[in-house]
Parts: sequence; structure tokens; C-alpha cells
Amino acid sequence: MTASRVSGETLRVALAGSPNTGKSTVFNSLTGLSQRVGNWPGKTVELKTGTHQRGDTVFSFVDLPGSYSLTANSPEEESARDYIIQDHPDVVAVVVDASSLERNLYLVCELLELGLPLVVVLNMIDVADGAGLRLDPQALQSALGVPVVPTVATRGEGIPELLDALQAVAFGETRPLAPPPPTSAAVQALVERLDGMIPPELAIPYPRRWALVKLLEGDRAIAGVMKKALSTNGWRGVDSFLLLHEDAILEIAGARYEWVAQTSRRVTHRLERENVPLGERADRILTHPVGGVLAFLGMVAAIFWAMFGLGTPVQKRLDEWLVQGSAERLESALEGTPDRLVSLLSDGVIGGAGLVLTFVPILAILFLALALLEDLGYMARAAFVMDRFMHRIGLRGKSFLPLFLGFGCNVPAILGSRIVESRSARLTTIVVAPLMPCAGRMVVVALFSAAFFGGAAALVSWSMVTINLAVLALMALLLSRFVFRGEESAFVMELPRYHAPNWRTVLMTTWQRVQAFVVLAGTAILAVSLVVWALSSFPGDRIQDSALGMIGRSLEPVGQLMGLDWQMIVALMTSFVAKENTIATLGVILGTGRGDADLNTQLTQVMAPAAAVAFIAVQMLFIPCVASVAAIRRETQSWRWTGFTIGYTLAISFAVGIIIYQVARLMGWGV
Amino acid sequence: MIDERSEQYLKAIGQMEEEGEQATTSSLARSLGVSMPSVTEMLQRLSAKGLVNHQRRGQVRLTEDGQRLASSLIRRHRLWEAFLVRFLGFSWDEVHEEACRLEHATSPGLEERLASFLRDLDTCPHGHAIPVRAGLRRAEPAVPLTKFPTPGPARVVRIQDETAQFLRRLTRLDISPGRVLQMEGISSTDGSVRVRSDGRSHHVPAKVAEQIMVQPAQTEDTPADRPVAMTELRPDETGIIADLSGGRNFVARCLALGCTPGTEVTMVRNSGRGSLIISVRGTRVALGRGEAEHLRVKRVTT
Repeated sequence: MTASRVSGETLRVALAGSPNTGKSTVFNSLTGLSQRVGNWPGKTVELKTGTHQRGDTVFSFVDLPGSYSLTANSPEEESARDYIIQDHPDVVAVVVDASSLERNLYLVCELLELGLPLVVVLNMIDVADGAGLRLDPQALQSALGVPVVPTVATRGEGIPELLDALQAVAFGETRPLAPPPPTSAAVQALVERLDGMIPPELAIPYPRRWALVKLLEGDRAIAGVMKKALSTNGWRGVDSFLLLHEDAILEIAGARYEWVAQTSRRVTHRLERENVPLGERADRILTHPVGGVLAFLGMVAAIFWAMFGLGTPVQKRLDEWLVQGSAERLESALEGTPDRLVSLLSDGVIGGAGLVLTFVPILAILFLALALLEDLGYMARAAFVMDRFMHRIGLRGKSFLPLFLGFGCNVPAILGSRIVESRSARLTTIVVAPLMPCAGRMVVVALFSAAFFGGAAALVSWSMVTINLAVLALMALLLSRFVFRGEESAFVMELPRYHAPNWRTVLMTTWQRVQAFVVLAGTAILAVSLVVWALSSFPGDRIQDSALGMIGRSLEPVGQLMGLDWQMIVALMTSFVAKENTIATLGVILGTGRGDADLNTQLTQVMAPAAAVAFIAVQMLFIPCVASVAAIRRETQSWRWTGFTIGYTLAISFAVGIIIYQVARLMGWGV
Repeated sequence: MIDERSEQYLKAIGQMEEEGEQATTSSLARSLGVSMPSVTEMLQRLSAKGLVNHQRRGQVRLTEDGQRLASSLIRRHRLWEAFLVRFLGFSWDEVHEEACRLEHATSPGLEERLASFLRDLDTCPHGHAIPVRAGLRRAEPAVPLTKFPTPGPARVVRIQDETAQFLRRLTRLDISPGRVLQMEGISSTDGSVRVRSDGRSHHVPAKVAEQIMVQPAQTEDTPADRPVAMTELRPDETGIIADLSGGRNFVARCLALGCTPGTEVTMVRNSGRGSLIISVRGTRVALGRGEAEHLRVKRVTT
């Protein structure tokens, strides 16, 4: 996971903290561009690492996932907690939101109970100031018994002092005082009794006493560890004891919070303020049942405008320059080499993975907008206002955000589903995300509907989007009713205080997401592109004579039900590499140039409107593209769910295609 | 695990403690209809398991563990009774026997589901308070109808005898929990009670009347400080969290966010449907409506 401690000069620092404390901003200020983003081993939890060098001391930071407590309520919290306890960082820095000290000190209290080398980062002092809260870091330091460093990470204030404190604690120059034991006598007694039930020699990877308290708090991960370590009978005894005392968590958490509230009151001075803070005024509109939805839809519209108004022209340029331009340059440069090789490079590599890359500008705009809204503190409000609607299809407000990303591209939708805590809701989100009409598919819809329906093109496109969303709602509902019955996830979410965005954090987040997409394009997507290229180039080198063409011909009977001949089926199959490939393939098969205008006329000659409608419906619902499939596999960590997604999209797309074609024919569009 | 017979004992002791009565070997023998020696034997077994304290002169008290078990059994019993009456169309005289069987087959998970399904109910059909998870509570103070000072209005709180025969008799007399009876007098010869309800006068034999627990009827009979679901709070109204339910994960998440019992919360947004926003410990938290119903709060009257 991280390099082991090389010498006394490399300090391993774990950065802990609740969500919305400006932890990423602190991390960015500390590590700058040295960051690396990866995954926790065996988990779909993001792991960020980075270093900072000062003199001959190297600080190596691990940015732990945001957690509210050390009880594992989500995979993120479990990863964070296990790292702190099992990887023995030299020092733990816990980032605390000064404007919401009381809620934040809970985690600090839990960390103090562990007795680790700890530094408290009192961040967002400026936000607290704005909210009329004056804090006394010195008083907090003496109350907690560990160093407290006030910072405004957005402006880099306090970062050098933080490094000093980390170094001092790691080298043992500052010793933490004995932490306050906020456990009541009743809880102590329960811990003693539990202690008696578990053999003292039992080996578990946690401090024993701490684990006992966590058992009483009902921590499932620790219970799992204990269950494995104990004999069946031994565990049964412990289990029924815990069941009997399942209310102990109220007492334990209550005692901690009592201590926290006292401490926080002692160090906070509330200033009288006359006017309502801006954030509260904004919330009156932004969380309003009607106004909030309108505001949110307005923002969505603005993001779309930016994506397509600003991003699409750039994408087109890139397509001309990067994909077609370099393909041409390549062809002329490689004159004389075998055609197959030229085709491999220009169609397989550049035409496949390269084409996917041209979407980077559009994605970058989307990622930027989302990172901005997230950093402002708005995203939680969006989840709140949308919860009402999402609840109807068995999902919660949080799933709305990732699904919404799917309008741009399904890949960020799938990757973004990580913010959904419960496993069932997350899986549902991932599995239905490919039904979001992504930009790639909309390109095809736009081309076809313009070619066939002229003035009604917008209506046809709109209907296609509606069909997709309806199928999505239906799938989500079915999954939550039948597959994940009884696993409904709770909607409890903090609404962070609004604050001015930190551009560094916003840009860093955007950059990292773009980077992840580029990496995906360069690996999995490239590999599959090459396979599809091979299928379309062998044995005969024209697509008509290739394996793909043969498959298409053999599937023609199925296609006939939807009014599709083998060319259309092949086009559909190549859309697996990238949805917009459909157009290029048709261009090749129908023997047109690459210009859209030619293709338009060609299409209307070979297809009836009924078949065209069926075709775009099928292509909208068809198997997700290779990038999405790779992302689904990565996020679900399961081939079964990946296979399920491919299977159901295939089945539904054909079913809808057949229905639409048959109905449209009856309506007389078949000629 | 303990057997059904032990559970019957724990329940009986628990019910006596609820009423503020001292359970003894003899009172247990009477209420369970068994012999004194078998009570003694059972009490020794329960005491060895750490569930009861068997004191001198046959006095018995539940230990903390015993109380938890007893309250859970009593809770299941009353939840089932309420469920059967409300949803399966049983009448109140049929459900005691059924619940006696069901309570032993009920897992803690099922108990929780039942409790949250019936969260708007405080009592069983016979008027006995359904215990909250925390444990046994002393029953609402009440006296048998035979001891009620005449004359005056008496509100029926609960019925002690839950046998079918007895309850059918009460049905004929039109007496059930919540009903207000005008107490008219007690016969000096046989102790029977004369009450008037809905303008009709009834004679209630002493044997029946002593099983009917009543309270002086007040004009307002909903105490202001009874906990209500969080969803009942209007915007800007403040409440104090009384208790949480709704599953381990949910409770743990709420606690970590600061919603511990005794904490003050202020409603920020509650539009009557959909999720709501509360302010707790200086932080705003959004809650689904279903989730918020698992948080019960006491209104703070200003």
C-alpha cells in the first residue's frame, strides 16, 4: 500500500477527517502535483497518496476516505479505519471543520481513544469567522492534549506550522497527554463482561479493548473478525450478549458527544450577528421543494450548454485533427508498407481509442462543473431536492448525481457511483447507468433523426431520451423490488456550509478524473478496439468480407424483426467500441466518404423510416460501450454484474426495437 | 438460549414489575397456575443464569439482563396483539392466545420490523404500554375500578385479564381502553360497581371491576411531552431527541452525525412530504422522511 519507513527521515502521515472539512484542500496544499490516485487493495475505494519534501525530511501522505466515525458504516470508513489502526502511520493528522466543531470533534474523540500520535488540523477558520464563531486553538489544544494547528488551507495559511507539528509529534518531541476517557461506568462494566467472554490469547488485528467497545457499538466488520477468530460456541455467547445490549451504542456515542459538546463550548465564542448568513438565505431557495428543483434544472441546463456549446466544437476539431488528420498523415507517411498495418494503426488504434480521446474536452467541462458544485457545497442540496423523485424508483437522492453525469458519458456516471454508500443502491446505480443517453449515442440519434424526420427531429430525439429514462426507472425499480429487497439504504446526509470554491482543489479533481478516463482509454478500451478491428479486417480486409460482416449476416434473421439488414447490425456491433462508431461504420459499409451529408442521403435511400426509428431506439439501449463495460467491471468488482448489464441491455434493446418497428410499420412508416 | 417456560416466568415477573408489584414465589404460582415448589425450582435456574435475583422471603427481582429479556418478550407479545387486531381483523378477545405462541418464535429482527411498522401505536389492544427498546417502564399509574373514588369520570387505561371469556364480557358492557365511564357508586353489599357510559347504566360485578384499571379522566388526555416522530416538527420548531430506531447502520450513522438521545434539534425544512432538513449541533442534516420517522423527539414548548 505504501512504502515502508525507509529511515527516520521519511514520515508516513495519514490524513483523516469527515467529509466536507476541506480535507482534500489540505491534502492538495501539502502535496501539490506529487499526488497519485489509485485504489485500496481489493476495494473500490479511492486511495490518494502524495509527498512533500522539506529540507531532508520527506513527508509521505495518505489521504484517507472521509469518515464521520471509526465505526465502519461504509467501505470508505472501513478502509480509513483499518489504515489508521493496522498500518501504523507515524502520525495521524485529523482535519476538522472549525465552523462545525462539535460534529467534527466526534472523530477526534475516537482517535484520542486509540492513543495514536495525533495532530488536529483546525481548518476553515475563515468560514467559522464568517459564521460568527471565534475559536481558541490554544484552549482546544489544552483540552485535547494534542497539538492543534489552525489553518485556512484554501489560502495555504498554517501549512508550514502543520508540517512543524507533524514532525514534532512523529519524532516524539510532543507527547500526547492521557486522553479523556468519556466512557460511563455502565459501559465499562459491559466491556469487562465482554472481556471475560473472549479468551485473552485470541489474536485479532485491533487493540483489544478498543475492539470490545466497537463490538458493543455494533460494528459489523469487527464482529466478522471476531466470529472468525472464535469457536462457534464462543461466538454464539458473544453474539447473544451483544444482542441483549444492542442499546449500548446509544450510551457510548452519547457519552462521547457529551464530552465533545463540553469541549466545543469551552473553546468557541459565538458572536452576535444581525443578518442571516448568505448560505442560509441561499438554502431557502436551493432546498425549496419547487425552487430547489428549478434551480437545479437550471444548473443542469447551464452545464449542458457548456458541454455542447463549448466542448463539442473543440471535440469536432480534435476529431478532424487527431483522428482523421493523423490517420491521413499516417497513411501518407507509411506509403509502401502493407495496407493491413496502416489499417491497424489508423482504424484500430486512432479510430478506436483515439476517437474516445476526442471526448476529453467535453468530459473536462463536465468534470470541472461537477467539481465546482461539489466544492461549493451544493451537491448535497441537489441530492436533497432530487431524493423525492429518486425515491419513487427505489433509489436515493445521492444516486441522482452519478446518473446525471451519464448524460455526458456513461463512464463518469459509473465511476461517480462511488459516492453512493449502500452497496445495493450503488450496484443499482452502476447497472442502470448505461441507460443514460450519453453524448456519443445522441450524436447518432441526431444524425438519423435529422436525416429521416426533418422538422420532427427534435421530437424523435426527445422520445428516444424518454424511452431510455423510462427503461432506466423500470430497471431500478425492479432491482430494488426483487433483487435488493429489504436492503433499502437510509438517506442521512450532512449539508455542508457553502464556501467559496478553491480553484486548486477543483482543478486537481478535474485533472484526476480526466486522467483516469485517459488511462482507461489507453488500456482496456484500446485492447477491445484492436479486437474489434481484427474482427472487422479478417479474413477479408473489407468489412463486408470480415468476420464481423459474417456475424452480421448470420444475425440478419433477428435483425429482420426490427427491419435491420446486416449492415445495420454490423454498425451496431461496432458501436461497442464507441457509440459514435456507428456512423463511421455505416460510412465504410455504404461506401460513402466520411462527410455526414453524403451519409444522410445514402441512409434515406437504403432504409425506411420505420427501420430508422427502430435502429436508433436499439442503438440507444444497446450494450454499453467498451469503456463503460470496463468501468462497470472495475466498480462492481464482479463479472456477474458486468455480464448481467450486458445481457439485459441486449435483451431490452432488441425487444424495444422489435416493438417500435412493428408498430411503426402498422402506422405506415415502413416504406 | 432459554426455553419457553423460563420465558413465561420472566414475562410474568416483568409484568408485575411494570405494575409496581413485588413478585414473590406465591404471586408467581398464582399468576402462572403452578405449584410453589416448581416456581422455586425455576427461580433457582433463572438465578443461576443471572436473569433474576432470588431474595429472602420468596421475593424476586429481575436483573438487568432479565429485564431486557422480559421487556423484549412483553414487547413482542403486545406488538403481535396490536398487529393481529389492526391488520388481520382479529377481535381483541382472540389475540392474547395467538400472541403467546408467536412471541416465542419472534426474532429480534422481526421484533424491530414490527415495532417500526406499528410505530404509531403506544399500547396493545388491551391498553398495556408497548415497551420501547430501552426496557421496561413503570406502567401508567392507574387503580382498579373498585378503588376509584365515586362519583366522577374514570378513563379506562388497561385491562388486566386478557382471557377471551372475560374480554367478551367487557365487549357486552361496552368497556374498552380509552373509554370514559361515569362512576356512579359502589354497592356496599357485594362490591359491584355502577357506571354510566354513553348514557346507559351498567352494573359491573366486583370480580370484573377489579380487572379494569382506570384513571381520573381529564379534559385533555394527550400529554404534551409525549415523544412524536421527527416528521411532526414544523419548520423552526425545536425538539429533543428521545429515541432512535430503524436498524443498526442507520442508528450508528445518526449517532455519528450527533443525533444522540437528549440532543436538541431544530427543524429547518419540512414541507409535509419528501425529505427534510434538520439542524443539529450546528450542522445541517438532510433526512429521508421514512428515516426521520425513526427518530422520536419531545417537543420543546416555548
